[in-house]
Amino acid sequence: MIQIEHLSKKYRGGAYALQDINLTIQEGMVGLLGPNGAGKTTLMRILATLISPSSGSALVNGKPLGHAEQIRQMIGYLPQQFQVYPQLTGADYLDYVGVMKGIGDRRRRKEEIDRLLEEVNLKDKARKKVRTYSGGMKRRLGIAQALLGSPQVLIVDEPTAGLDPEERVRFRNLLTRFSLGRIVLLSTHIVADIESNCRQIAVLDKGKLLLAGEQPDLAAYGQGKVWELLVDDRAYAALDPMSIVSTQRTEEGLLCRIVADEPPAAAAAAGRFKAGLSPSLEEGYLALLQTGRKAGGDRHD
Amino acid sequence: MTKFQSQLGLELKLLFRSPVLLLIQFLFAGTAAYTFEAAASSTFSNLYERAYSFHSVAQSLSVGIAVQIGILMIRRDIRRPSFEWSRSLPLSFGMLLAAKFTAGMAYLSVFTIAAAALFAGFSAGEGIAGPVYMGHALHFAGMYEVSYAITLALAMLLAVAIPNRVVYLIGFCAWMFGTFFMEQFIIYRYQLYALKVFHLSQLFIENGIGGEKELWGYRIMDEERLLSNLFVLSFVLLLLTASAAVLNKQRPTFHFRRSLLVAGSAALLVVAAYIPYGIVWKERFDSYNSKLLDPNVPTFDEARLDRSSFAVRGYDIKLEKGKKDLLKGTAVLDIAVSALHNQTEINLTLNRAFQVRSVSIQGKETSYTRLGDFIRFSLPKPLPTSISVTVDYEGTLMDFQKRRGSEFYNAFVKEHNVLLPSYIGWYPLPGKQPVYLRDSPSSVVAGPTYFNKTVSLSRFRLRAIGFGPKLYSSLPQTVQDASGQTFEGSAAANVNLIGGQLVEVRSSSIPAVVITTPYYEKSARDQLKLWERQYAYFHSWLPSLEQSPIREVLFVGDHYNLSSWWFNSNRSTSLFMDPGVFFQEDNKRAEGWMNRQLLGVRTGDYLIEDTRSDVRIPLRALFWYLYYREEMHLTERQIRMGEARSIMLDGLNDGSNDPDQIGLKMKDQVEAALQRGRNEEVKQVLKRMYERGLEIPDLETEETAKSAPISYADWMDVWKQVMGNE
Repeated sequence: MIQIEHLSKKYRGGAYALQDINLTIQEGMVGLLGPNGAGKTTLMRILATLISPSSGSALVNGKPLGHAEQIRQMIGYLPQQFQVYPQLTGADYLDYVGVMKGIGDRRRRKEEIDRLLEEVNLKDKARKKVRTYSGGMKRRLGIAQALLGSPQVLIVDEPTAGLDPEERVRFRNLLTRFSLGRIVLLSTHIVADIESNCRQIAVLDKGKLLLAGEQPDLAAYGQGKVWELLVDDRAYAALDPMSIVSTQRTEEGLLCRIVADEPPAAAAAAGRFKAGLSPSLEEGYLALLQTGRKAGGDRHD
Repeated sequence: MTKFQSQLGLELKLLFRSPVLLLIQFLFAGTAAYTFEAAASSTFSNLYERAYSFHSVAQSLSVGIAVQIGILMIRRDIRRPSFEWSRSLPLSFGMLLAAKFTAGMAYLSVFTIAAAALFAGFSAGEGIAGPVYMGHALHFAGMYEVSYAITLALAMLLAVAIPNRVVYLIGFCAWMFGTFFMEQFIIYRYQLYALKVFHLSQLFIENGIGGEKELWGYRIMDEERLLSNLFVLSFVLLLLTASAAVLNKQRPTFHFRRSLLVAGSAALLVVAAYIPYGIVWKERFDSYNSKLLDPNVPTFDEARLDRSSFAVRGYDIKLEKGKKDLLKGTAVLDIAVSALHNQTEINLTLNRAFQVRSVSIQGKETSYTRLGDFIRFSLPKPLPTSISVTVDYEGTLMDFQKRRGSEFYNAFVKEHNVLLPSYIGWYPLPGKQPVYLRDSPSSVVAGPTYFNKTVSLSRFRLRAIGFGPKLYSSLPQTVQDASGQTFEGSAAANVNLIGGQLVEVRSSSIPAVVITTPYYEKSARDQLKLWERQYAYFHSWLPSLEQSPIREVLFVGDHYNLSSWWFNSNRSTSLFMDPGVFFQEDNKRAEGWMNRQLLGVRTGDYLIEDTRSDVRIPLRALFWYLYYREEMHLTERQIRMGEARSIMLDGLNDGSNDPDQIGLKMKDQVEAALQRGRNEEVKQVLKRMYERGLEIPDLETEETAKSAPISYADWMDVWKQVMGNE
């Protein structure tokens, strides 16, 4: 379990990357959602003991952040950007990481590396130098190194970036299997990445925690805020682009699904909208961001 | 496999699998091999000195590589966001930096091993004894490693502290400053010699203090170097621990305070290591400043006008070297009272580095006053016809002097390395001798820098004990036994002593020995063969050549102006010759030896301003002219065209001193006689001239020397007597 209390990270200029975060993360896959710049990476770097928080505390499986050496023994980490020494082969690299993670027995290390290479579909390329790998292959190698040693806590920052759809699915399933009895903290700004696998969800925006709960909690934010409109081109242009979830051209006009507190006035006047729609997770997420921003804006005002 | 081993293995792979870095190593080794091969294949060049020059430059350049890989090793992962995964691994920065440093040193050590091994290999090929070349090779290796260690650690700290790529530029500046500019613009310009320890290329900086010379060279700096290296290595530790502390500040760690404590301890260690090194320099500066502040150190004019000197009839000196290079001396001076000119008190000069234990006159201890380098005491009344003064003294000698911005050592006794010029006052000299002269209000220099004071000739006996390998003196050695050596001379101006790693090259046909350093031995043997041939030629018609006093030739590289003070008496039995002296061609050095043995000194040639009144200079050259014609079978035309390439023939045309070209006329006379086959008559003429004495001593400094001019008319008289009226 990871317990985060009043955690803040303030940069030299005075800006907050994280502000007063309180969050409890249980076993299983946890999706950390938020737009770019929300503070997801900062939170993950703090939990991976790469940087210190400005204030607040966190316990990772009962270990405070100050005991960084002990935390590093139990985590696997894949950063958002991942590069490896190009001169090494994939197998050599993983062997090095294995030793660093304390897998001293060579045979056990080899067995685990072979298994992971199989799982990330790099078995055939294991003896090739990393400089010959594609971007996706490097990403998969990064996933393998994070999984090596079966860490109790896996922290993966936007792990699916650069992977093709087939690899994304493969990877999600891999993480889901791995998360049994462990914590897998996965950050992304793509809702689909967590939709199928993450029961727990935390949403960050502008350094603040907007939501911590389960998938239905997030979807519930869209309740009564999802509208389906049929508009012509001119009315479509007048819509707030940030609220449009999807658009479909039909014979009658453009069928749009939007997230908003109220249907647009013109559509409401024409009576060409449908209310009471069941919100998806993404729509709940958008509704939450809109709510959060309004609340933030109100406070600023 | 431990984490350290794994990290080290990774770092080694990354360094040794880089084609560029490997190419640099091959280029370095290739250049070293080429340089050493060129030096080894030349008979006349000194492999050690060539190697030293190479090392001092090549190492300074390769230090640049240490800077680059130091920065590179940090920036390629620790400083790259895309390698952030590595920082999440349970590996401490201390271990990481230790592995990187070890790998960097392993890579750089290839340069060290290549440089030392190639030097050792080529030295062995030259027939140099194993202990000799291994000593040098280990010195080179040690200096390489220390320089690399400090440079690498510095570069790593720079890269840790400066996240921007500008660190490469800063590293480049640090390299340039730490190797080439620091010496010129800081250390020597402001005479901050103690800062040498911060120089990134120790071999480069040693070069300026005679380190490149085979005799003595770096060996006299053993103590300073040891202390300097201890300081540098502790500084390396500080840089590495500081790097770890900086990194630990950036990444959370439970052990941050501990890393600060370790860095702080390393800083204390640096301070502690600097203290003994600083003391060495403090002692040197104190010694130098004491001379500077001493009102008894004379100016040039005061020394020139001083008349306190007197003749000493005889010296009997016992000098013993004890532990820690402590010299204990007892000097008995036999002085004729007539030489004292009714003085009631006299001065002796003994270097201030020696403490006087007692002064006795006729065996009875007497009181004395010590003023700087001078000992003053009253003479007994009434005065006997001769007095015997005994001085007991002891001390250590490492005479430091600032010279033209650089550091210089006028005299020293460091283990087997001995440099004791008489002028430094290592035994009591008569009167007030200018051991040091006040050059300017802020500078004191060694006496002979400006001034060679006339010294009367004395009878000397010197017993040297405890100096280890053989000492060499300007006096002939009469006894060598297990306990020491005895040198004796009946008419010597002074006694100089040197000792060090020297070898003797003996000839079976010449009653002389060449004393040289191991790396000049091959060259000395070749020169000795030429000398033997020349000696055989001249001896065949000048049997009295056997009477020549020259018995020893010291053939060593000169950093200490030995040539200027070694032989100031034309009765010297030994001759100093710096291999670096210009002889038009390398293989002409033997001519210098033969010339001195055959014709004696010509130190007073500057006093002959007109050949019309004295033809000794062209006359001396005629001997060599005959040698080249008869023995070397050169024709007149070949000699005129310069094929002899001999500096010895220059005297035939003495330029402005010979407006009537008398030298050439004499040569033409000889040439014409040779054309007629009258070689023997020419030899008779030269032999008669030879018997009159062709030596040209400097009467300004040696008043008792004999110097008899030979006029052109004298020459013509003898010529006509032998040749008839042709």
